[in-house]
Amino acid sequence: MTGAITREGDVPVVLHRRGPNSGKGSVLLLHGASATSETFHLPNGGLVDYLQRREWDVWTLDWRGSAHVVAKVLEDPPRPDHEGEYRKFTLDHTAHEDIPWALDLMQKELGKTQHIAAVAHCFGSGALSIALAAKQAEAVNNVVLSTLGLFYEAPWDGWIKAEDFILERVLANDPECRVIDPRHYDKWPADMKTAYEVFPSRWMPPGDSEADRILQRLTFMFGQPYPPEVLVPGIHGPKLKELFGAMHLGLYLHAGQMVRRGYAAQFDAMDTIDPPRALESRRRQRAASREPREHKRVPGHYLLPEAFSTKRVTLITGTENRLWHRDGIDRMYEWLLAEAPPQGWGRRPRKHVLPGFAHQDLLWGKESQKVYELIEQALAS
Amino acid sequence: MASDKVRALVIGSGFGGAVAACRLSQAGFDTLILERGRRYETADFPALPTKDALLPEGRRLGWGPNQGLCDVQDLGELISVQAAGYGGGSLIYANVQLRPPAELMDDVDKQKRRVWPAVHNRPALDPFFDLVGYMLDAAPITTHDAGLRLVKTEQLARVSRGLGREGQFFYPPLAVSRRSGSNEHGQEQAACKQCGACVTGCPHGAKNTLDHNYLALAEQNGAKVRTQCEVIRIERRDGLYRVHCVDHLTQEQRHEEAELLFLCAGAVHSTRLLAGADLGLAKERADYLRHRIGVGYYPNADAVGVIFDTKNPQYPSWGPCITMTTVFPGTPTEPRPNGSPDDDPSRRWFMIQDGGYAQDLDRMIGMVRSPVWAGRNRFLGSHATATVPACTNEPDPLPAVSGAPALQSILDRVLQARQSGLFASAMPKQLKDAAPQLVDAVSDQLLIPVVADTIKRAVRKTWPFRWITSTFGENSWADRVSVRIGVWLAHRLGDDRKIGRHAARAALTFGGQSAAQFGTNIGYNADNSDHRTMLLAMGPDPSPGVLHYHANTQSVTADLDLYHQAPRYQDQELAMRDVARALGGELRVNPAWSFLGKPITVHSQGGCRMSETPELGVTDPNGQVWGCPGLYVLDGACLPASVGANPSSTIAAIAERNVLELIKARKPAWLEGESDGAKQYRTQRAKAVQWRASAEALHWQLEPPKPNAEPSQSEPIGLAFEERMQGFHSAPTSRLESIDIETVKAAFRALETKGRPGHAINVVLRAQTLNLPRFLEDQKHILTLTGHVNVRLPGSDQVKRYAGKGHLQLLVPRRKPHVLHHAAAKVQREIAPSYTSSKGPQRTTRLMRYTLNFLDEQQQRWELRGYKHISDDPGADAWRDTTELFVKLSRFTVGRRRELVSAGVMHMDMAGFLKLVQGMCLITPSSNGPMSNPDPARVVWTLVSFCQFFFGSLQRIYMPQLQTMLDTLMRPSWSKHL
Repeated sequence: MTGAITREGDVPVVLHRRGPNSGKGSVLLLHGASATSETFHLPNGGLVDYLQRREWDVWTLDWRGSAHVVAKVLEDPPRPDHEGEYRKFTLDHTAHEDIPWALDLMQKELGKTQHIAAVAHCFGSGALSIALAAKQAEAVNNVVLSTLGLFYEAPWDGWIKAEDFILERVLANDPECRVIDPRHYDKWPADMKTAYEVFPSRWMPPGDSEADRILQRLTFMFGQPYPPEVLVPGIHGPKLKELFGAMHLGLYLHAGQMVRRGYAAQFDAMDTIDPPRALESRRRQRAASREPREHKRVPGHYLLPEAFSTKRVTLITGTENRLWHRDGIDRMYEWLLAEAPPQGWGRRPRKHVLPGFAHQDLLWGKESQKVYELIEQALAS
Repeated sequence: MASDKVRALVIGSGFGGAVAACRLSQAGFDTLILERGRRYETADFPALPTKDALLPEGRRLGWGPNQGLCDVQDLGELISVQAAGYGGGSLIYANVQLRPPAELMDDVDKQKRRVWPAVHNRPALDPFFDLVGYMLDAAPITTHDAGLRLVKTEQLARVSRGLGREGQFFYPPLAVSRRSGSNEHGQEQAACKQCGACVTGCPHGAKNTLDHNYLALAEQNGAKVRTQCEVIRIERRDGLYRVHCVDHLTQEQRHEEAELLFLCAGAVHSTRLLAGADLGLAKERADYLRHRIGVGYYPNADAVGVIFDTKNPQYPSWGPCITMTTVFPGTPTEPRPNGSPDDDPSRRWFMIQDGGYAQDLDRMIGMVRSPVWAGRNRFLGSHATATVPACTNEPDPLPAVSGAPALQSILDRVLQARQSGLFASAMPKQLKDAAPQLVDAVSDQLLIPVVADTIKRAVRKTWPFRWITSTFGENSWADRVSVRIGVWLAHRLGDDRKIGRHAARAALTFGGQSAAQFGTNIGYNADNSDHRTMLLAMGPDPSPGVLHYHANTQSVTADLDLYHQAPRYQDQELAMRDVARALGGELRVNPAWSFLGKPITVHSQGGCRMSETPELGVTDPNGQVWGCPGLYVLDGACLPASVGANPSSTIAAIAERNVLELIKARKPAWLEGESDGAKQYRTQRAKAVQWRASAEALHWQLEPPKPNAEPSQSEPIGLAFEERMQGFHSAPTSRLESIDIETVKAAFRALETKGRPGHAINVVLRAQTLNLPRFLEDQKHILTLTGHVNVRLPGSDQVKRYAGKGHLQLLVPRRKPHVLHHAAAKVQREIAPSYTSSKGPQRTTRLMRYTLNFLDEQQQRWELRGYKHISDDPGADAWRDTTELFVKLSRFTVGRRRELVSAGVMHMDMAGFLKLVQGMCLITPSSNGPMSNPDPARVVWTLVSFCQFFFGSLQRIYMPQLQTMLDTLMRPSWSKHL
């Protein structure tokens, strides 16, 4: 098959085969939240184009974080149970429903024994990591995780926003709110607007064009995805409206929870607040009682290493990433080495922290060819 | 399925831990390494984002809450720096692989016992040193392509020759990669790019850090590694060691169990963990061990200095951090009254090495020259005449860093942010509007209570209020009322609200200065940065210190023997000044030492020392803790004395030897066996022999040469004054002893009255020290005395003048202070009989002790001993206490017995005191007399420092209420010894 298949049901995710079957193998690309699979398919040559030219069979999945999917959901009027809708738009559902569905379809097409490689970016990478940890992506044997894994480390301005519980206030004060769209400020809930207004202008990228405005809102929502000057021409302009769209409140809430906690866990799992302080208090308790107290991870966490030991994992991020701090990738790397020791020295996970790169310019930057080469090397290994 | 292998846990991955893990995994032990720090690959070393749109963040710079690279700890008496990361100290050390001199490892103590266990001597350890040299691919800088062109190396080589130290200058082996490609252990490395960033983490992967050799082999042989896993407690249950740790990755607490446990967390942390461990021993045995843990801690006499504005360029950022070493002897000093091993200069050798740093740190290094720190540097003058011609080499342009971006300091980013207006524009409008109220709120809520509390405490310390508090009790009505009155009176001087607000505003605005001004005022600049060079000094410590464990906070503090240690820093400073003079530059020493009196060490050693018997140490010669089978200490903590040289090679070699002994005991057939690990080990040993042969063929010097006796040309500054006293004496009729000091004084005074007018005695004494900083740092505050005494001795019919010599101890405590736990103190005295703790409670009584020996006409030896008793008694008694000398005149009879002949009191009059002050002069050892044309700044610093010591001591006794005020001011290094 070639072309797109849309899943029937509440959340119409779309699997898209970008070309005919080629010799090197099949690779599934997962975009970030609020973006779409067009992230990989730029008119002047994106990752899809790069891989296809090197004879890869490229598939993309518009999962439930895709602006296209959310737009379709929003076409339906809110249903009586819409207040619980946000609970369906979480990384849990993505990892347990969307990704397995896509992989099943691919395997049906390619054959059960066919191994699949996957490249995921940002939230897509977070979702894929969870799917791998929860053994929902056993068909994937080689995975490239870009900017995010199971550890969520935001720059400190992002951490402050997460600790400010803005989204929880939106949920409480504006029950009608279903999405936050960086393109339509007028539709933002009041709590978001208030927070946006007091956000320091210095931390925003400058500019007054429509694209600049969208970038500023994205910066407020997630952290600055890219500095405009490093992108290939033509993206930071009118096209930006097509590349980013609405983000469902559910995913956004889930992200906030994980930034506060520091690692992936199910939606609404218990938060761990301020680990250093917790450690200090444990020290005091221990000193008082002289008995060590065991502190366990939160129930429902996804730090499950078993499935990773059989996968080839490559981690990529940029040193200047202000959306997801590079520490998240560093932690993921150390965790994999500690918890999922590779079977053989040559199968160790690989980590590339690229100097000068930020977040979205890993895929859209003038220097992205370097990243594409690394991805292709990882897929080919 | 449980493994049937013996489980070995290794805590720490530095030079001890990496060696242990590698060899254990080769021998087939189920090995797990627990490392509290992160993994660092070339792109991972600390760096700040290069864009400054956001405020700077310092993740991974300091250990702190974010598991950064450098663990800087204030241990009270000193500051200890160590690395936290996979590879331990190798990540930030200066690559030097030296072994200690053979004589040092054969050293014996006063009781003629070996300091090092007999099995740890150089011939026995040399094969292991060679093995470490091979594993780390150590070779001197001369083997590098750029090696012989490096300007800083060449310049310091010329300086060494100019200072007459040709034979003491050498190029130590460095564990730095010389070629790109796969190393001996199959790891990809790049060739050294000569960027100087060794001590902040090599961004090119050219340092042969342990993760490129020992640890990589350990992992290849099946060792498991948990990074960011901090051990917090150790206990022993049913023969197994259980280690509790906090996993910083997942924020969970976990525990691991093992039959074999290796403590390799660095000297300070290994000692801390062992001291806090519950080893399941009987109380008596546990106490026995506890009293020995921490005793014998050494900072390796580390010191650092920077020479600014050298005549010729030095290019400190070109080449690896350390490339050369020169060995210096100690400076000859005035012998101490009871002798000290430290009096022999040949035992006080030390090394000076060049210290490079990354170019990005230029501005930070600039801070060391700040006028704020200048104080101590003025004490020393140099007469060095060597000058060195310029090198004409130019550094190659540095390649672009492929890994981490440049390391800049947080301060740099803060100043940039302030200059670019980031702080102001980053502040939300609402916050900006509320700023004045915020300042008021902060000062109201935080600062005013602090100010008010300080005033209250100060009031309580003044004598009328102190009396009320002690009489009626704290918080009694009288106390509360009187303190309120005192606070009200204090407020007449200034409103604490005002003080609080000023403090808040000053803190928020750098005291009203612009960022550029602020940076300049603290010396934060990179002017003339090519004309700088850094010097690093180290040597064997003269006396061990102690690490005290505090169970309530699970931390340790250090107690150093500064009485013996401080002169070592003096010697190093003098030698550095020689180098500075030869380079035509200006020396600045470590501000922490010159300003706070705290040395910085990056070479902590000892705390769990190896010993032949359980009485004298914590571990046996194989590193196993006495009485705890399976528990080993294999890092710097186990060294029984400081090695003087950079200790990494010694730590690794001892770990190699000790872990091999363990493997031989557990698996006797392993070494000759056919397992992959055994074959690999045998191959490495064979290659180590080849490495040794090639080193000898190329004449690499593997250990420091012996120092020549030539002292440093720089001289310390000294002080001399003349003191005249007169009085009367007479023969005592009873013993002059009583518990009550006033009774004794009264007896002396009675004898003085009895002696009037016929038995006069007067003295003219010249007191001097050739080294004032040493006098100030030395807790015994000894001045040498020369002069004469005019007295009519019994049996003589006239007053005669007798010339004599002796010493004066100025303002010393009545007893030698000891803060050590009694049992620990006993152990400490065993290993260091002359140990002098520099800590102690503040004394309210001090003595000035005079001793003068002279010979009469019959060559009979006499002694005039006296003391002034400085204590705050009712009434204004400060003048009387400081001018009234209670003396005893004794004769030495056969058998050197002292026979008391007479006693009395001598006084100094006002005119004599004024003459004393007027006659104070600066002297130098070479002239042994007044300095000619002294630098006025040095004169002022010397006199001010001496007066600060003298009158500061008196103030603490007679006006302690000023203490609170003085505590808030900046105090020089020796103030804690007052």
